[in-house]
Amino acid sequence: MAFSVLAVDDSSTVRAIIAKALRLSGVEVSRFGEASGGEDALRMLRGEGFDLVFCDLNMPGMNGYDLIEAMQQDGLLGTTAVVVVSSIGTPAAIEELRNKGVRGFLRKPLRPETLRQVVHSVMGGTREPQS
Amino acid sequence: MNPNPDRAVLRIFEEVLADFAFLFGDPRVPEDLPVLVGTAYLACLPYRASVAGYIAFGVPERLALEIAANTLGVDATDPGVPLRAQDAVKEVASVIGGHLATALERPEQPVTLFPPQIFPLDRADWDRLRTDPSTRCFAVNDQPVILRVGPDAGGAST
Repeated sequence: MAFSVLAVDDSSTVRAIIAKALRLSGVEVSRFGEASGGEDALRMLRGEGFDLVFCDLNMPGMNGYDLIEAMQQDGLLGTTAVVVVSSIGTPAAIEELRNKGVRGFLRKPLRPETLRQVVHSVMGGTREPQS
Repeated sequence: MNPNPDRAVLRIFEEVLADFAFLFGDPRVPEDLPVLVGTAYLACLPYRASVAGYIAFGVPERLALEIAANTLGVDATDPGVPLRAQDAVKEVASVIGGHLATALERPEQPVTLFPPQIFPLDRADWDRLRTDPSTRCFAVNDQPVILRVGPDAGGAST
């Protein structure tokens, strides 16, 4: 099954890493979008719709926490799967985000095998990675 | 955040550099640091905990290119590498900050991180930071790297 994916990170390097990790992990992607911040992401989500959002937390302007909250308050976007991609991994932060509807966590630096496991757990079946 | 988390800083710096950019840091005293060739960048990540401060990470431009190339898994001659060099250095600072915050945060003392910024460093700024007692120095691929965690970024962030 192929998913449409939106990568939200102010770092273009991280967005490129997410795209590459998706390719290497064997997760099928039907459409890959990039947003450099929460405002852009919200506009793209409302305009185009995505199955899965990879979201950084520490961004200028609307940060990841604000984006996730805005998505939750928007009826339709509240059902979109969100995976947080961050270097912050305190239990308190993870608990707070889970309570806001976040379905998965990926700790930076990102690894394709971990990404695949998290996507599998959040979205269901993915094909085997290419060797 | 503990204002003097030396051991955690060194461990996390080495782990992040290795995991993120496949580079390895060799701690040096300032006098033994390889000489800076060309220009340098300083990425500053502000944080707020019991005290406010910065995580500052300085690298020569040539090493910034290596970090970008390794991070993206492409050759250093790839035309996209120079466009990502400063962004990749900022991201290393950001990941160091996130791991430090995770390691040092206590329930009664939450740590807030803010987006990193990057600044060019001239030779005088570099030497001033390099010889500051609160700066930690490393050699990475025979190039100098500086790192400091503290209440200021050595004046480079202002």
